[in-house]
Amino acid sequence: MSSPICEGVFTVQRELGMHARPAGRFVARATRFVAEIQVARVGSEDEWVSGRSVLSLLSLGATRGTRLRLRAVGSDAEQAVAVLGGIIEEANEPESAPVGWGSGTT
Amino acid sequence: MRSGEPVPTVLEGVAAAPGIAVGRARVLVPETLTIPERRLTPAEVPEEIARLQRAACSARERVQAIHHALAGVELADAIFRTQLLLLEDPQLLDGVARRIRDGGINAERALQDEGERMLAVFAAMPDPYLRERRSDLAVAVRELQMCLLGLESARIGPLTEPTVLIAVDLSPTEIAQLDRASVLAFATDAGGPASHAVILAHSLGLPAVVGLGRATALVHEGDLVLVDGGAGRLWVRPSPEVVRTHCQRAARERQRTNALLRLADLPAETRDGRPIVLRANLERADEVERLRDHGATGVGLFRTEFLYLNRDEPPGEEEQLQHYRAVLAGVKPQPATIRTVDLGGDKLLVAGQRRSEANPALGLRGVRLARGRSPLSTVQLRALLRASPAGRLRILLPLVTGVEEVVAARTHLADLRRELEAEGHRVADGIELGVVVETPAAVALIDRLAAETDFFSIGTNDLIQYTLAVDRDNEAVAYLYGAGHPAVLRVLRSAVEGARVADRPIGVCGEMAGDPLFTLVLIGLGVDELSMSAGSVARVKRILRATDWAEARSLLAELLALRTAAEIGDTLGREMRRRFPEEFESAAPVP
Repeated sequence: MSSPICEGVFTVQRELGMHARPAGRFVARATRFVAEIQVARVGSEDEWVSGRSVLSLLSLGATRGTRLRLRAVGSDAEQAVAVLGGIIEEANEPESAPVGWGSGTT
Repeated sequence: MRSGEPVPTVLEGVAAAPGIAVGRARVLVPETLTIPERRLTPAEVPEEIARLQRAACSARERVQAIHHALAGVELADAIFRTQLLLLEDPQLLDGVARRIRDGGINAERALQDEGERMLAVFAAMPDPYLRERRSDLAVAVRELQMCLLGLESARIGPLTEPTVLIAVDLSPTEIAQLDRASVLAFATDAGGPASHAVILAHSLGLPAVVGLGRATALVHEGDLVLVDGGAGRLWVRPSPEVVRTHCQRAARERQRTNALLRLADLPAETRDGRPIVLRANLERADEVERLRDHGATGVGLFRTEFLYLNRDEPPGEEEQLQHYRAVLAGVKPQPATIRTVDLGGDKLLVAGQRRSEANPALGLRGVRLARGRSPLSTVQLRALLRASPAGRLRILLPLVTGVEEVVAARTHLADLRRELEAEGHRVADGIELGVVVETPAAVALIDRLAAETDFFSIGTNDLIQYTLAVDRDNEAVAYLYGAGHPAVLRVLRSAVEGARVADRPIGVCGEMAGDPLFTLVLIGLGVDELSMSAGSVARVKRILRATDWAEARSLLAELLALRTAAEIGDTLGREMRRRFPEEFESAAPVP
């Protein structure tokens, strides 16, 4: 059984950083992949934390501009990194961005 | 000691939720949990860890129960979701289990130590917003501790008389469990404008003041207190005079609200009898019950975006069907106008792909997402068609810029209808298809679009943005954004006239529709419908009913003759204040 490893570096774009809500969505999504997910701050790769723990993600203290390294190990590793990296790089919480991209505008 | 200290009659805090309440104070003394400490034999360790897991389980059940009780309160939703995630967080629970195992100590002690360690990590964060997330963690740890100790989470016992709660702080769970029959209001020492207490008090409509500093020290159990939530004040043992003036003010506000609600039953028409249909904009299906109380006739805009947000896969056909049915059935026999999803492509995680666009306002969004009969569009249209027998469905297409987009939607709908009927589903006849007029292109093509469209709805927010080339969230240029710009008035006139010539009804569903300042302008233009948030209907109706159509037209003609947004703003503000002094007594200048 092969275990592909996939890694990627993503930059937090959210104004308020990786706060509770995006971290919660990250975890909810991460638990649906087979792959084991780990996250670390770029430059502190000896301190990996679990991608399935809100508390761990919050404890990274990732503010806007923080670069995070994502590592997935498992059969769906590649997809996991693409999807979860997307959550890290979302510009804003969907519901807090009413104007400029559509929701709530008329 | 407080006996000798003179108590000020009024404490200033943060206005958390408006409303006035007078009652006897119930002072909740800060309760420190006594954490028992016990050494375990190695044989006892597995049972202790199992006890921790069980406690986490019941803590989650408690939070879940409250979460259900507050279903639909959007911000409360986010708070409790975070709580649930923390209560099943592997790092927290594994950390506590490790301490139990390695230290040979009981679960309560282990939780206390691990909790303190984690809270210290948060306290050390340089970013103030992330640092504040420790309050989420502190609440979760406390909830778990209470379950381990076998304590009820509510420390507020049964109340026998109307009460104002005074506490150092109240947790989200405590606020959610307050007995609404006897708790009139609450006031806390701690808390700022964005605290959980504020968010929940607002959602529950409970008058509240937070951030008072020393209320628990200065107020005695049983004192008469008055909470003025709107002003952020707590009056301690107020004089009869203070109570009287506040109660009179509260009564006046109630009267005003009631008078507006009584208007709900009167017809929406001008003094000289021109009917204008006032409809409600809706964000969520469960708001539908409140519409009639406000005097709204059907739904003029149901935004479907909320179904798509905060999730990784778009909602399925069955899930959407439930929401659409609820809206249609809720306003039947009035129509429900449902707009197909208007999200930017960069906000949609479709099959794990996320596009990032330099200019999302001009990018892949609105009806463009339906191109090529995308699965996103197919699922939504199928759900809409299947829901259609529940009421009178009107489908609205956002961000249309060309006739081909409407034709594509129409043929797609026709094919899906055949497909659904072949599958044995019923689809209603007479479903109307409309276009949101929100691009200058749609205004320019209004006659062509009319040939393919049953009705129009002007989305003023985006129409203003695209007409004036202004992003109103960009502070550097926001001054240019304004409904009173002469170019905007001309564009609106041309849209309404085009629709009238083509004999298609046209309404307005943007913010402008619910702004009483613009009611005469829109009536003067000759629109058939205004759709706004339910809370705005009564005010707009009152202005409508006190206006002659001819008067509105002549005011519009006067405004169209002016050259600048500033001139239009001045004249409109002056004229509206003169006609409706009580509506615009403190009105700011026209945006």
